[in-house]
Formats: sequence, C-alpha cells, structure tokens
Amino acid sequence: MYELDVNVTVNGRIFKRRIQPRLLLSDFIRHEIGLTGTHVGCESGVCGACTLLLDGLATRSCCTLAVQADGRIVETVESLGRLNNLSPLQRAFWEKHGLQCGYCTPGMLMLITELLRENPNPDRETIRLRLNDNICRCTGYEDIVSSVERAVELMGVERVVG
Amino acid sequence: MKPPVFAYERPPNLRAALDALSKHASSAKLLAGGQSLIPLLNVRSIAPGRLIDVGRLTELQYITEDYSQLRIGALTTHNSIFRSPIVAANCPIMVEAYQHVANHSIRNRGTLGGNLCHNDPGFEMPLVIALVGASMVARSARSSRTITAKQFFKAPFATDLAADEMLVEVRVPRLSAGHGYSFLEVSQRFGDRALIAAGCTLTIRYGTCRDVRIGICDTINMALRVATAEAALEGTAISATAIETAAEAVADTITAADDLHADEAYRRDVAATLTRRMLRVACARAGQAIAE
Amino acid sequence: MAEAGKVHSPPLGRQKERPDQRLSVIGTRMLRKEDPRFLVGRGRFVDDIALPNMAHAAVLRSPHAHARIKSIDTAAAQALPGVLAVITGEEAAKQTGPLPCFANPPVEQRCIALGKVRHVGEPVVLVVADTRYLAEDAIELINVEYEPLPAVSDMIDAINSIGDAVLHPERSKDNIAEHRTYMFGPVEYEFGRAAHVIKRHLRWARSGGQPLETCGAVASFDEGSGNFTIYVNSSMYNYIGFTIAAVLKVASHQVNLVPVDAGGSFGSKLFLHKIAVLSAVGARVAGRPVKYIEDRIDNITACDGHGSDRSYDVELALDANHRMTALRYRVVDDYGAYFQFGLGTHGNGFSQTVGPYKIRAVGAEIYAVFTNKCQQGACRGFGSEVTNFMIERVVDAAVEELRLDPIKFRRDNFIKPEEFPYQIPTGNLYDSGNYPAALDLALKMLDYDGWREKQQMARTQGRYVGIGVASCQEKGVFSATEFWMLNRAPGFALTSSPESASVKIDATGKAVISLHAPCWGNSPETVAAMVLAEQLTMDPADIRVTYSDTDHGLPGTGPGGSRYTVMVTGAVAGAARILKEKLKRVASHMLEAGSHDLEFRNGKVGVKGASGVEVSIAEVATQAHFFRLSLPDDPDLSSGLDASYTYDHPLATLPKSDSDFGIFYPIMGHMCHMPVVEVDAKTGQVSFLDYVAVHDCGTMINPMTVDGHVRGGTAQGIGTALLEQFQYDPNGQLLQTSLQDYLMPRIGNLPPQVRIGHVVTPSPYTEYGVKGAGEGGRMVAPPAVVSAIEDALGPLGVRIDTLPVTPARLRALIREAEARKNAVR
Repeated sequence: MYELDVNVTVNGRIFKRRIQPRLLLSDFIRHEIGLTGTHVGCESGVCGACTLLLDGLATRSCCTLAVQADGRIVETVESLGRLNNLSPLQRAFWEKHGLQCGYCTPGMLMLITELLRENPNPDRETIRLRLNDNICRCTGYEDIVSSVERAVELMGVERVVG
Repeated sequence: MKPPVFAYERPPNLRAALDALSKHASSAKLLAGGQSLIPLLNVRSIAPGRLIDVGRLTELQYITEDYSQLRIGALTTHNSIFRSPIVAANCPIMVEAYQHVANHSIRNRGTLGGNLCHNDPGFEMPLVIALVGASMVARSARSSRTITAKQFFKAPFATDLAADEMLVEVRVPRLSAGHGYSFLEVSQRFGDRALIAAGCTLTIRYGTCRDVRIGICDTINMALRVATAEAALEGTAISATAIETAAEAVADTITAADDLHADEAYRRDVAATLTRRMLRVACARAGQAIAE
Repeated sequence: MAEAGKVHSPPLGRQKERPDQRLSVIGTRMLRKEDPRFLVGRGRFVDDIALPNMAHAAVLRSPHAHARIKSIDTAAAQALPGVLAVITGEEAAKQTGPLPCFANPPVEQRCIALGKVRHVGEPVVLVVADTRYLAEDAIELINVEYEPLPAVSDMIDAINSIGDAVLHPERSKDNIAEHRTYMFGPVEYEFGRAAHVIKRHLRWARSGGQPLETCGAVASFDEGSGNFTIYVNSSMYNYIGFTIAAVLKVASHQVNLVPVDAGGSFGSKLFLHKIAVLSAVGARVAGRPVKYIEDRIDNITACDGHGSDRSYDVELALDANHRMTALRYRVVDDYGAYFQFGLGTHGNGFSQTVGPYKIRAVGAEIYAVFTNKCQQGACRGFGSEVTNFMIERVVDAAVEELRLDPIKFRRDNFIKPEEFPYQIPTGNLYDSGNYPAALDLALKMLDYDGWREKQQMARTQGRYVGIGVASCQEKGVFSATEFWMLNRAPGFALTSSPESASVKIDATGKAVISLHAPCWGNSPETVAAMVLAEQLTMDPADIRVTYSDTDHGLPGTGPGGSRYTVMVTGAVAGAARILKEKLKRVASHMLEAGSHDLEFRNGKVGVKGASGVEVSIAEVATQAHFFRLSLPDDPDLSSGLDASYTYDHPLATLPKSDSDFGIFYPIMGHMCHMPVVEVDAKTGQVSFLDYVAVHDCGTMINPMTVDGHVRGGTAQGIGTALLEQFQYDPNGQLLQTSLQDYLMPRIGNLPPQVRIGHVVTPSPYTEYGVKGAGEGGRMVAPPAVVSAIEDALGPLGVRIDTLPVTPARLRALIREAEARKNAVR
C-alpha cells in the first residue's frame, strides 16, 4: 500500500500524519484528526455539506485528497467559535433559525465565512447566489439568508465599536 | 464511495511533471483541481494506477495578454479567470459563460485545463473555446505543439492529447472592440448540469454581420460550431428572418441527444430558442438591436 | 358506514391544558436549544461515533433488478489484508430472521438478500474491514454469479406478472401485494345522480426524502454478556425496537438501541430495520464493533424510504349546484420489492380523503404491486400528500371544465367553521378548522386581485404568469390502527402509539428531561423545554434535554405523521403535573400553607395573593431530595423529585369495519398555498414571482420553528412538483443514482420569499390545542404549483397530470397545445 507523510495545518495547529494518497480530505479531517464538524452528504461534489476552507477558499473536502492539503492551511467549523464564545456568524444563525437538523450547517458557515471575508457587506442577491452552492433539505434557505444578513449587521456593529 | 488504491507523486515543476508523465504515460492521470477527477475516483469508474499531482505548478497559473491573444496557464483556476479584468476586457463571452460553470466552490479549485481535458460534453468551456477559436498548447517531455480547438476535442471525454502530453496553455484570441456576444444556458438547477447551452460572437459593420460564430452544446455530444447557422448570417444584413434561419439551422444539427433529463425534441426546440435569443443579445451588444 | 357531517355528540376528549389560557413561554419564538452544538460542529451524528477497535462495513450491491444468486466466491476478498468478515445472505440467515414487516401477510425481507435479489442496489454481501476504503477494495474482489430473472419495472405489467417475474412466489402467484376496494358512503348513488362527472388520470412520480445525512449504525456485541449495543439514526426504537432483537435471534432485553442526532429524515429514518441488523451481524461475526454508514448510492438505491409511486384514475361527482358529492378513484401504487409498511400510505390518505370539502362518499380501489425497485417507506406526507394532489387536481379540473371561479368553488364546498368536529366518510374526525379564514388570509396576503391585474397586463406582453391555489389538509398524530387497518387480516392489531417524557429535578433545582425518541431537526428539545418552562414557570436555561436509549427508554413512537410536538407536549405536561403536585406538597409544608393555596410564579412556589411568601423551586428540590425527616411521615411521600408520563393518543377509536375506520387521525391542520409563477413557454422553465403559505396548525408552541417547517416543507414540495423523480428503465436499472441526477431544490429554484400567514383553530383534544406542522408544506405545494403553471398557460389550454413538471415535459405539453390551437384555426 502506498503511503506518505503529510503536514496539514488545521485550525491553526499542524498535524503530521502518515496516510494513503487516496484518503479524502473529508475523511482525513473527520477521522484522522477527529474533527467531526465537517459532514459528508454525497461524496460527489453536489451538496456542499463537506465545505471547509483550504487556503482561505471554500472547498468541497469530499472532492479533495488529503495530500492536496499537505503544507496547506485548513479551516473547519470548529475554528469559528466556542459554546461560550460564538462568532457573530454563529450567533446570527442561532437568532434567525438558520438550521434545523444541523447537518448542512458547518458547510454553510464555512461557505459564508469565505464570502464575508471578501465582501463584508453583500447584498441579498449576492448572498443568494453564493448559497446556491450548497443544498439544505430542511430550511428552504430563507432563514439562512436572514442569518447571513443578521451576521453582516452584527459584524458591522463589531467593526464600528471594536 | 472511496477511491481505489493508486500511486501518487507531486512533481516540483513542469519539467519533472512531463518526465513523470512520459515514464508512466499509460497508467497515470494528471490531478489538477480534482473536481471532476475525484468524484469519478469515488465511484471507482476509473482506477488509474498513478496520480501525478500538478495542482501546485504555479508556473502554469497565469493570465497574460499580448498583442493578439490572451494566454491562460492551464492550471489557472476557474474563479481566477472568471474574476480577471483582463479576461472581462478581452473575452467577455468567457466571463458570461463562467457564471454557469459548476458553482463557486468548485470554481475555486477546478482549473481551465482540467476542464478542457476532461471534455465532458455538458461542460461550457469547450464550447467557448471552440467558438472563440482558441488554441491549446500541449507539451510532452520531448516536444511541444499547438492544437486548434477543432483538433483538440475529439469525442466526448476524449481529447487529442497523447498519453504523455500535458495541456500547458490556452491561447484565446482577443475579441475586438464592438464585438457582440452572448452565452445562454438552460438548466433545471442554476449551477448544475445544463440541459442545453449556446454561445455566439459577431460583429456588425455597416449593418452587415461579420465574423459570425455560433455554437451549441447539447450536453450529450460534443459542442460544435454550426457552420450552416453561421453561413446564414455571415455577410448578410442582420434581420429577424436571418436569425430565424440560423435558429433552424442550429436545431437541425442536434441528433442523438436524449438523456434522462430531456429528450432530443426538447433540445432541438430550445436550441432554436436560445439561438434566437442570443443572437438578439449579441446584436444589441454589437450596436444594432433587432426587433422581435 | 360513517356518515359525513358534523358530529353532534363529539367525544369529550381529555384535554387538560386549555388553549385559551395566558401563556408566557409557549407561543414565543424562543431560540432553539439544539442549535449551539450544531453551530460549533459538535452534533452527534452516527458517523461521529467512534468506538475503540471499531471496524467498517460496506455492502456489495446487486447490479441486477431481479436474479437468482447462484454462487458467491468470497475467497479473494477474505484473503485481503485488513478484511475481517465477508458475510453472504446465507451466512446472515443462519443468525438472523426476516426483518419486521407491518403488512399482513408479511413480505419476507432479509438484511442481506437470500437466494434472490429483487432490486438493483439490494445488499448481496456485507464486508467488514479495518477501513471503509479496504471494505470497498474487498467488494471488488467478490465474484457473484447471477441467473437473471425477468425484471418488472412497469406497474401495470406488474399486475399481470406470472412465473419467474413474480418477486415473492411464496406469498402469492403474482406481483399484487394487495388489491382492496373500499366504499365509504353512498358512492354509486351519488355518481348515479350526479349532474357532472369530472375525470382525470394522474401520475405521481416516485421521489424520496433524501436527507443530507444517509442512514447508518454502529454496533458492538459484548461476548461477555451476549448483548448488543447499536447506535442508529432510526426512530421507533422505544416503540418496536425489540423486533430488532428478534431478528438477531436474541432476547429483546439483550439489545440496546442508542439514539443519535439525525441529519434530517423526512420519514426515511422511520424504523431502520436493515441498517441496525447489518451492523449488528457484522459486529457479531467480526468480533469488533462495526460501523456501517450508507454512502449516497447505497441510500438512493436501497434505503427504506422511496415515496409513493402512483397512477390514479379519479372521478369527481358534482350536483347541479356545483357541490362536490362524491369521489371515486382507482390507484395503482408501485411499492417496489418489499412492503415494510403495508398499505399504510393509503390509510394515511383515508384520514383526509375528502380534503377540506363536504364530499359525502368516497370509493377507492387500490392495487399495490411489487416491482423490482427499492421499497417504498415513509416520505413526508406518507401517502396523503398524494391524495391531496389528487383532490386538488380534480377540483381544478372541475373549475376548468365547468368554467367556475377557483376561489368561490372551493369556498362553497368547504366544511363550515360551525360544523366541527366533522366526521368524514371513512370514519375519521376533523377536530377543528376554519377553512374560509385560511383562504381569505391567503387572498389578502397575496393581494390576489392585484396579481390578477398584473397577470392580465403580463398576458398583453406575451408573458405567462399564473396564480395557483390549493386548499389542503394536514393531518397530525396517527393512531396505530393505521398500521394494520388496511390489511386483509389485521395481523398484530396494535392500538397504542404513545409518547413519553421523563423529568427529573435535581437538588439544586435544575431539570433534565429525557425524551424517548430522536431529534430529526424537528426541535424536540426546544418544545419539551418550553412546555416544562411554561408549566413550572422555570427559566428554560435551567432545563436540559437528553435522549434515552432502549435500556432506559419508556414508550415512544417518535417523530412522524406530524405527531411529535403534539405528543411530547402532552407527555411533558403530564410529567409536569405530577411534579407540580409534589413540589406543592413539599412547599406547602415549608410554607405552612395548603397545597391548594399555592401557585407557581417566576420559578418559585408561593402563596396566592401573598407576594413575599414563597420558596424557590431549587429550595423545594433540596428539601425533597435530602430532608425526608423534615416532611410528613406519609408512606406515599418519598425522597426525590422526578416524574415520567406516557401520553397516549388523545383521540382514537377502533376501526368498526372496512367502511368505517373509526377515528385514527383527528388532529387536523389545514393549509392554503397561493404561488405566483412565470413560465418561460419556450424553455419550460418555471420561476416564482410570489408565494403565500397560510397554515393552521392550531396553537403553536414555537412559531419560529413552525415557520421553519413550513418553508422547508414547501421547498420539498416544490422539488416534488418540478424536479425530483426516481426512474427505472425497463430492465429495472435506476437512472438517478446520485444527487447529480436526483435533483433537490437549490435556493435558485425557490421563491425569493415564502410569505407565511397563520390561522389558529386550536384542537379541542390536545394539550394547549396544538396540532401537527411537520409535513405541511410538502403536502400542499405540489398541487398549488401545478395549479399555478396551468393558470399561467391557461391561454394555451395546457393540462398537467404528471409530476414532476420538468422543463422538457412542460415544453412538450406547450408544443402539443400550440399544435392543437394551430390545427383548430
């Protein structure tokens, strides 16, 4: 069996592992590193549940090999906030009922994290266009749009105040 | 759905990549962004013995312009091209088509070269490349050649590249100012596979159509330019009748185009509609709007 | 026979919490208790479970729709390093029995195909290995020899199957799973004297819940005790979970089923028999814990839950005043290869088979057939979304043929607000409702007249804009009789479908509620906490909610049939009542007042009218837990502070005959949807210009979560109407095997906004008057959307009778309509 060593920075920490090149990044994050917040829905690049940030870009981890993240920086949902210190984006999703079963949520949060970094004040059309990337089966998306708009508000306030 | 076992190497530069390809030609596949390749590995519909990872070859990630053309490195990501002001200024039909290419996340990692080499008949870029008459630069360890669009795309999922050749650059002729263009797509879900797509470019000089290019992508057979439709407009005064003739000519080229999402009758029908619509948009952009 | 009409001596019911009381927590948009863990990526889904030494399973799926298994060569697979077990159907059959089946006579189904495969995707071999990757490698080394049999892929062909085309020859000589005919009320009489009869043929395509998370289980077998522990994202484990033990041939108390968070279900995780058994068998054979998670192909091809797949011929009888008098239909329903839930999906339809209308007779002939396809199961609506479609389509057909006004026609035929409780011809009861109010609210919110004007304007511009209407019922809270009442012989005729809640308050006054059914995204923790907080005037932050496995579980039927919120509200309220009694008893001693003089206020127990005279619940709890000797010496009073309550169906009766099923689904919500669509007639694409959804689900515990369900259900209904289908070719090959081809709605497919309105007609039978709201949107959006499309294409005379309305189908209908028009000229 072919194996090789990789060094992947995940949420600010470097992990060295010996893996098979065929190991998907989604499985690497979930099972090698043990961060199970990133979810798997289709393993065909359609649903986006597995979205995380690779070098700051929203990436479908089920369509990425772990070796492609060797020496790179991965950010997952676990980097956004903690229970007693939720990020504005997480708080906004909570306030606006942006989730029901929670399975698509980490993918949505990471997708929007990329969007808000490049565009802190997207209009509704831009938000909807970006959300078209990912499938949610529970919410019908509207409350997710409201959550993103609320996040923009909360982050705007933080920028003004902080 | 997990990939089968394969050997893996990540050559540090293009030369090393070409050497590796040369050595393992028949059993290796190049890994660029992986957005088409890895889903196929996940269902095990392909089982390459080796993956040569070229995704980090920054020497093939560039967009430059010279006097007559844009030169796009094959490993440039879709989003880089989509957002490039150079591309917007010089080949706006490419940018318009890019709206329909997969979705934002896939465009973050997918590359133009990977897309063209996969040559999925449902993809938009092969149509754009055929329309604008781009050429592909391919290299192997020993040689280099330039391939026209017509030569490059051989059959669905097949290109003219030899097993030891790698696409390194796409050369896109600059569209001159005053060009009209349009790219339209019909799909059941925006951001997913098209049911049918069409594109055109043209200029209008003194009321006459010149340099007319009309192409159709029926998603089952390869995208192609429709010579009969182009001929119906080339050198003529643009008119609703001419547009109608072109639309019918495009519809007539569609055969053997049934799949589980739409039948051939639908594709022929909508191909004509897209042709009418896109020609009107292109004419308006070229400075001469045509009434219904 | 059950006569349709107002019930003049309605059952009294046993509602204890009246709907009209002043409430401070219930009815608020309290933020959900479930959210924090999901937001930080720490939900506990089945694939997140990692047990020490855990192995992984994968399934070799049948490539054939119908075939005998002649031989299976597993030697190469077994020899692969890292492979722990390779289990064929024969080996599995040595240690397992058939899977549980609600139908009677049952249809034998095995966790791994035995002797024969009956659909593409059916498990043929289970492989257990160190990793899922290795298990899939091993699968490629297995050689199965099949002898193909004739594949049955067409439901009409299935009615006439003989010989080798029969899927279950031991059960019958044909592929007719059931053929039943029902007459509710004077069907022949009404059709005989009808002034008008409207006929339609309708086709509802097979689709499915397809939640984002597939089904899976992690099982371990303890050699020391002979006990299984199975984590599985199923429901009904505290209801019929013991049947899994029977399949595994162990005693029922030797299996502990442990719930996990479920990433959506929409019915498809209702009672996962196959998955739990597969992982348990793997664990027992391999001697290590085994995780089996379906990948998307496993789920699409072999889940338990494809939806209804029906062809209807329906007739509607009207009198001279355009009143609908009777409905008669013949339906063929393609159940696929197995019959886990029997005819339950038709029983479901019978609960509301006249819609909101005063139709007094219903005749139904039902063919359930076997074909070589994945089995049907529960899919949001459980078959009644299809009867809703049938009813509203013939209503629209009557409107079209008789040139009636779609709004007035519905209004004139509605059951009136003063006619509740209302009995429908099947014997079921509608508890309460106000259908004209829902219609009026929808008209107002939409600005219906305004849109009609815009439609006129659009028509002059050659644009096809349409306004749809659908008025449909949303039943809630099924009775268990639904599982067997359509069986020819009942079989196990269970009549309990309870829900339990256990509440304990610790010595510091914090509460933990244990639920006995899982979280499907349906906000059970939020609902339970809100009800307890209301009852005890506690701060919801002082309440935690957890989930019981079967070792610790009380009866819990679980989510499904829009029942859970109603039932858990009853259960928590029941437990709360017991706790309140005890709290008052102990507090009365602490305050030296009579229990009857005490009330709960702001987390305290105090004397009514004496504002300082009170003790906190925490203080009472400490007393109750630790100071027995300070309390009266009464043998009925013991230390501690906890209560469990099992809440039974609030209003259910036994079936009386095949023409009167008694009361089996009386908590009746109602919905009125009005979409406005624009059709691109040249491409067949449909887009939404507006969408109003009015829902009546009685008292709402949490309007925010109700609205979430309305939007999500509507989205799924739009998917059903426009995008989703499972198609099998003549050889039984499934054409949609991935989410690339099974198209679920993205945001771009949906209206920019679903504007929600509420009418509230509380139930007289449930606690606080709550009704179900989980299935709703999917049960009304399909006919509403189709109605809008037909309205848009009215000038062309397009009639739609087949779902989904894909662009290709719609464009073909438009072409035909245009050709007809041109031919006429």
